[in-house]
Amino acid sequence: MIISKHRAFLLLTAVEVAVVIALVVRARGVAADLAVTDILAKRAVAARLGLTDLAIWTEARYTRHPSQTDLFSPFQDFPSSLEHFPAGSVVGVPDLTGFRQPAEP
Amino acid sequence: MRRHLKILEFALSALWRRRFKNLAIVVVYGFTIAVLASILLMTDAMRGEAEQILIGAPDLVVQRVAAGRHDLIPVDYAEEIRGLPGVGEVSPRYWGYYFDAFTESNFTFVGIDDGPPYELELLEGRLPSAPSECAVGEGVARARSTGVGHELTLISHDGLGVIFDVVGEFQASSSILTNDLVVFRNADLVELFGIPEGRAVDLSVEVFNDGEVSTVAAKVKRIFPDTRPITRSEILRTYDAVFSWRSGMLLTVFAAALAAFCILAWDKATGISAEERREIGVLKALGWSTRDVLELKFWEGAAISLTSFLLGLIAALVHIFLLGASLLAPVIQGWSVLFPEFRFTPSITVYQLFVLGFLTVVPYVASTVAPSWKAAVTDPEEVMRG
Amino acid sequence: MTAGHERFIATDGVSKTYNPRRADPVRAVDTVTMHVDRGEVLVLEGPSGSGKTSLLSLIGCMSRPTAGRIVVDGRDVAKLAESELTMERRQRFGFIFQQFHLVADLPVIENVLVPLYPTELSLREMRRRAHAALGRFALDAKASRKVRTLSGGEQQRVAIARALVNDPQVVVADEPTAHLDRRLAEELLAILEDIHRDGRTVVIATHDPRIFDHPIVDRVLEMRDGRIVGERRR
Repeated sequence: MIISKHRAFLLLTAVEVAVVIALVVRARGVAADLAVTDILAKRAVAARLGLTDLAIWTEARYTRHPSQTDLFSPFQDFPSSLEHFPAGSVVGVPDLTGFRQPAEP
Repeated sequence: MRRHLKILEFALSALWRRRFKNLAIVVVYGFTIAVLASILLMTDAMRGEAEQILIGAPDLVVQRVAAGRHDLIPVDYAEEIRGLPGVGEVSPRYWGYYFDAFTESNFTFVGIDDGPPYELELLEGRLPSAPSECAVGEGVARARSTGVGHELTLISHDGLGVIFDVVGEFQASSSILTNDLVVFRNADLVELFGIPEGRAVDLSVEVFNDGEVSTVAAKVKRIFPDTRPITRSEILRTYDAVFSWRSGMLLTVFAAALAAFCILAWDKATGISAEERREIGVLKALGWSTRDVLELKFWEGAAISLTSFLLGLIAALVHIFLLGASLLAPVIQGWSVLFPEFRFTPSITVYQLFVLGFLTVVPYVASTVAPSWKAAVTDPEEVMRG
Repeated sequence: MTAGHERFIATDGVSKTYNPRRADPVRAVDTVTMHVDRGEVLVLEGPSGSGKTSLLSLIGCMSRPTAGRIVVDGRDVAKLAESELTMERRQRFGFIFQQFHLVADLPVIENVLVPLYPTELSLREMRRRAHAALGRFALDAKASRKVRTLSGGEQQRVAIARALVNDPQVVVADEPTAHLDRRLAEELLAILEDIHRDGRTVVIATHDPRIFDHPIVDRVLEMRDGRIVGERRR
């Protein structure tokens, strides 16, 4: 007799879950390894060079250094203009309300 | 238990009837989940990485703002800031942007003070320690076909070509931080950019006690109203926001995927066909209870959505952590010419997976079961009369 | 063939009204009192719209009356909860529908298995019974064919096999010969006779004279406008 459908389905699901678990466990293992070597090494680079930002988007000042940019750079032409770069769809608009004014007088 | 499995069996037989249609649904649905999961996993990995790495950033950066723009800061400010209680080293930072006409890409120049260490784990060779030396990021090395032992010609602010010896090259694994960097000694950078005497780009301030950083920032702001202090926690918060769920692209893509889901769900929810109603009536007449019928519909929805979810998740995990997000990277990349190759540090929480599962599986199952409800609770005879 | 005289199903002043709250309620069954004896073949005869299908559904626990009592084997089913009504249907009744109501895209065997899925039987036992039911009608060889590919007569026999697979005490048939030619109608009657010989009670709603003149029929109830207007005993 051929294998019943629900057995096949449950087997397939079990295999899928096992693959997910294997991938997650592997990814976490990699993460744990990297945490002790790679991350510390990168942190050392950032500390030695005094880096404040990630080198992901190099097309404009405010995408290369989102944490350092002044409030006007992303809105050079017009405060509410849509900016020109696709990276702007990933980099959020700075938080104007909580702008880095120290709270205390 | 056996009864449930048997109803599952019948549900699978029912799905098998329209196997090509259902396979198409699994493919589309699984693809949507793969995209969503990829974005989620990738942004989370990047956010986690940014958080981990930028702990190395300066405690406090003090910029000068003039006419609403970031302006060069007088080095004199450093003296006064150094006098504040709790403040350690205050050092001027020299850095800036350089458009490289040969490769039509933007480089970031960073100056370092003289002083060890000159060697870093992720640097082949060493950092510049003598005039006319530089270290380059992998992207720059690739773009300009240079490397340790070779030269790098750059154009100074007054239009002259200047030749630097490349003494160090950052390893590819640090690209996310160093890809577009060219590192010089501060003196060389000042000369190259023509930064006026007594000025720096900004000041990096060391604060001994983490808890006092915001107090120091407030004091700096009071003493020098034309400055803008940026604390490390603000930097971290910026990156948290950049990669957060709220970030624009995620929202856009998610909205599109969500809209697709809604269309699918709406299509199912706008009422089951007369054919399906009749089938439910027949099932009930043949001794199926309302619960059995709803369980059947539940299994039909669950089989499709669970399979799609798991396949999509597997695809996303493989895509992000084994293939380095090769398909999604161009979307993130934007207009960058130099773009780092990503090697993600995986960060996966069970919570994430549950949220994703909940957001995708539950609505689909609900939209499968809900429309059948009315047909399932009426008496079979009425269903059959239509 | 003697009809037993033990009351098996009895209705007492049963009515069924459709759309009771609307302006034009339809009283399909109007205070009907009748009974079905165990082991008899009863025919409900009447033109379409006379309420025979509605009465058949009430007897078969497919719907609940608006008023009155229905007693099946000593149990009042008129007020039963939905789940218990389902149990009655599952355990006692087999249905043969006018248009067969088979699932055309499913294989023959799956169609016959349908009534057995919500039971506690094992899949193996279910398949054994389904094959036995199909075997009785010489359909075992076509068990894995799609219903769509069968002839009309074969589809009818699949529908009957499905009605018998849960070993019901009562077989309820609604206009079983409506779409059949003479040969198939005779074949059906032969099968019904066979079913009756097993000791099962058979209730048929029809306006086909070929049925109510047939020798297997014990009793005919004539229906007009939701009421029983006559009874013929053979």
